[in-house]
Amino acid sequence: TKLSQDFKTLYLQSKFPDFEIIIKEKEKDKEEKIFKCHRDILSTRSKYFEALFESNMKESQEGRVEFENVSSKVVDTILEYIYTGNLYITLENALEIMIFSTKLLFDDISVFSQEYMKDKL
Amino acid sequence: MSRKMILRVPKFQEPKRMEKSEAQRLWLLLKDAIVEVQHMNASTLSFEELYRSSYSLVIAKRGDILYTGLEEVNNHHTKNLLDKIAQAVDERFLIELNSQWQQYKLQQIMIHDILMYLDRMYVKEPQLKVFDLGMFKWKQNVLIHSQINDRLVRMLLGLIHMERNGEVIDGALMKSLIQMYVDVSLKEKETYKQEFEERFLLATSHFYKSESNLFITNNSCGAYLKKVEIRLIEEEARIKQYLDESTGPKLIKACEDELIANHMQTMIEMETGCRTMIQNDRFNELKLMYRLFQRVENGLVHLKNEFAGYVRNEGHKIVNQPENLKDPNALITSLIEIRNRFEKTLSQSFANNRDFINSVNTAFESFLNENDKLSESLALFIDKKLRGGFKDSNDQEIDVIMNKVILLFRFLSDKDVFKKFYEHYLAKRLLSGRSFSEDLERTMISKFKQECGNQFTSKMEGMFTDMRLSKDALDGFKNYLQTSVEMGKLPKIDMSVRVLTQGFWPTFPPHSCTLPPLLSQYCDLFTKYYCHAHTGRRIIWQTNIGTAEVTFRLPKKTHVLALSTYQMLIMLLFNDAEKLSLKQMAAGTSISFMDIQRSVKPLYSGKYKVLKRTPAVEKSKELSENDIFELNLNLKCKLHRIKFAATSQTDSEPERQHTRQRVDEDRKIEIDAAIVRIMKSRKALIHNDLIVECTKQLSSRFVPQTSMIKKRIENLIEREYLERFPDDRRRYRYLA
Repeated sequence: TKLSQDFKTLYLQSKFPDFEIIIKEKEKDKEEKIFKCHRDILSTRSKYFEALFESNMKESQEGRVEFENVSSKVVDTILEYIYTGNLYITLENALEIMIFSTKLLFDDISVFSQEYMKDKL
Repeated sequence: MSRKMILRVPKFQEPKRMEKSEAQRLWLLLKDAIVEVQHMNASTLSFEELYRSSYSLVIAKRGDILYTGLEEVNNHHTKNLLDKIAQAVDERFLIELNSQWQQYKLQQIMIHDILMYLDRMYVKEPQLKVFDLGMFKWKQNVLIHSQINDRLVRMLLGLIHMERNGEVIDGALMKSLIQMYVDVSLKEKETYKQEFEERFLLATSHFYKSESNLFITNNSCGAYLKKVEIRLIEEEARIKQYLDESTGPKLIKACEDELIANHMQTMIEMETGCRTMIQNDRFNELKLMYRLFQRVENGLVHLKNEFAGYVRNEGHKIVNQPENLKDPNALITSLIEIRNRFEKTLSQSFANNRDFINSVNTAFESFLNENDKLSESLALFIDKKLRGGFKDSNDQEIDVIMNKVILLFRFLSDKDVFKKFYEHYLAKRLLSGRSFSEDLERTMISKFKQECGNQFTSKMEGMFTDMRLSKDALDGFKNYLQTSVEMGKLPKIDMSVRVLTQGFWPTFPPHSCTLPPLLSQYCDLFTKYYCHAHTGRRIIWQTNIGTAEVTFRLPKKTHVLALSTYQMLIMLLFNDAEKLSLKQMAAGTSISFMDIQRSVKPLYSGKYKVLKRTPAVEKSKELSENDIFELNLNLKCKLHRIKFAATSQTDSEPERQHTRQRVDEDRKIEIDAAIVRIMKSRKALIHNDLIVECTKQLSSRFVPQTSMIKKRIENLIEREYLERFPDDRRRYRYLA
């Protein structure tokens, strides 16, 4: 839809972001990957982020959070879902998506990815 | 058949069994953080790190360490807080308690945020959720602790008491502390209800019991009502300001019980109470009373009964007042006045409540039928209006009065009696030419028609038809006279005749009298003419209700006297005699002595006296047979034509009794018809059922007496319309 397209633009070419998500992929010793996003959108779409901002701890004050043990591709997929409601799940990322979404209490993605895997097995 | 599917598992490790030491390390990390939160130093902690720690413990199945640890930390913390709070003195106590509570609540939200994964994935019933656990510990160790609970409730109730006595208190503080009881309740606000609400309601009842008792003994009812209204508004505001909304209905009920329900009887009976308000048309106070009584069970019933009782009492007085019994006009005017007054009370004070209107109507029904005067009085009232009483009113005013008449009419249980009287006076108006306007007559009749249907007014309408047809007949008679041979032999007089259809008109009591020969001849001529034109009809002359004009020659002046037929006959006697006693008058005219009395009275006692009594006896009013009269030759009157009342306006007692007798006759026929109608459709019926059914069918016209119905049944059995069952004498069978 137009709305999800516009939100995809918002996610990809954010003009006034107020929060950063940082992923360091240790093994390849790559550069850290930074996702620029919006507190309001994150906290509206996710209980995890709502709690994070509400508790007003370090991340909320510094405007950034760093995740471990997750690939930037998966974070990208999930952020796109947060912004647009579209989830692009594949055989490659399904398991990782399930684990990360479970941790962050994205119940719908978690369930969906589990069903997806059951189907494919 | 199947393609080979690859589900890639990227270096994913099955979560290793977590070493106990690792679990302990994570717990200590979290414990330190929780303690920091409890000291309000959360801003340097990493949310993600703490969240991740709790997540790791849970997926490693070490949630128990975390949960029990949390319980201990909370336990410890709240016990420390208790000491701190309990030490605060006086007003500091509430402030300290509140500020610790506010902080504690925030901390619990943060702890819940950090441990969200634990809360969602580990905690299972009957374990408390993380936040509820925090609330429970506060309740257990602080709020319901003996050093806190009682002291807190007493202080809160003390403040509310002060506020009710007009002092200003800190509403925000109250709200926060009272809300605390709700927040720590795990289900259905049980802590709030048990620890606070119950005692608060008790204190409220107590406060208002003593206040209302004191206030009502020292103030007027009106002032008390205003006070109650203000109190209720205040309590409504109190609910919004700092109580839990679930208390609202209970609090208002408690107040209403104490302030209204317990004092209803007093408010009705006290000197300045309901009765006085109704008597003095204190519409606003009554309106307030209505509004307040409406709130409590059976409140309006009390008020309604009181009002209806007053209405009945006032009505009773009016219908029994001696002046009103003599003057039908005054009676009906007063009734219309109180009706207007009570309608005003109903609309201004009692919101036109259906029940109130109905009970007022019932009251009217009861006093209007207290004595049998009303039917006639109402008929007379209209009679006066239609004889010219409406002269100075516009259409709208006339309509209002007519509608009031209909309203009173509606309450009459014996509508047939009224009908007879109405027909009687209508007949008199038409025959004497005293009706002010035919249009108004017809308007009035159409209103009765609307109310009771065609049957009710068919006779009245018949009278109007007769009047029109009589005019035609009379014109025909005059033409006939001109062509008649006999005419040449007779002196000319101007005679006017009205032909009344028997049945439409009331039967006037038959009175005989001797007409002068000339008049008799004219009457015969008319009979001849009319019976020729309308074969098969029979004419009966009712001379007693006619009028006549007589020339009265005095030495210096001549007058025309407008008289009744009887008066004419009496006056004509003086052509051959100078003095006549009443006895002689009666003999000379064949009129009954009583009619002589009534006819003579206007001639000698009115404004213009054409007769005088000799010797003149001023005082004595009663006439005796031997009283002697002569013509008053000294009559002084500027008018050429002098009109005399035939008799006094109201009917004499015998005439009235005659009307009643006719009503009874009609009732017999109506009852017979009703019984036959019922039996025809039911074939067989028990005595009581027949009486009930019969009464019901006739109730729109009159209330038949049971004894009368019984007599009619007997009569119908005799006439073989009905028979008794041989085996059950109480049952009747219809005989076709």
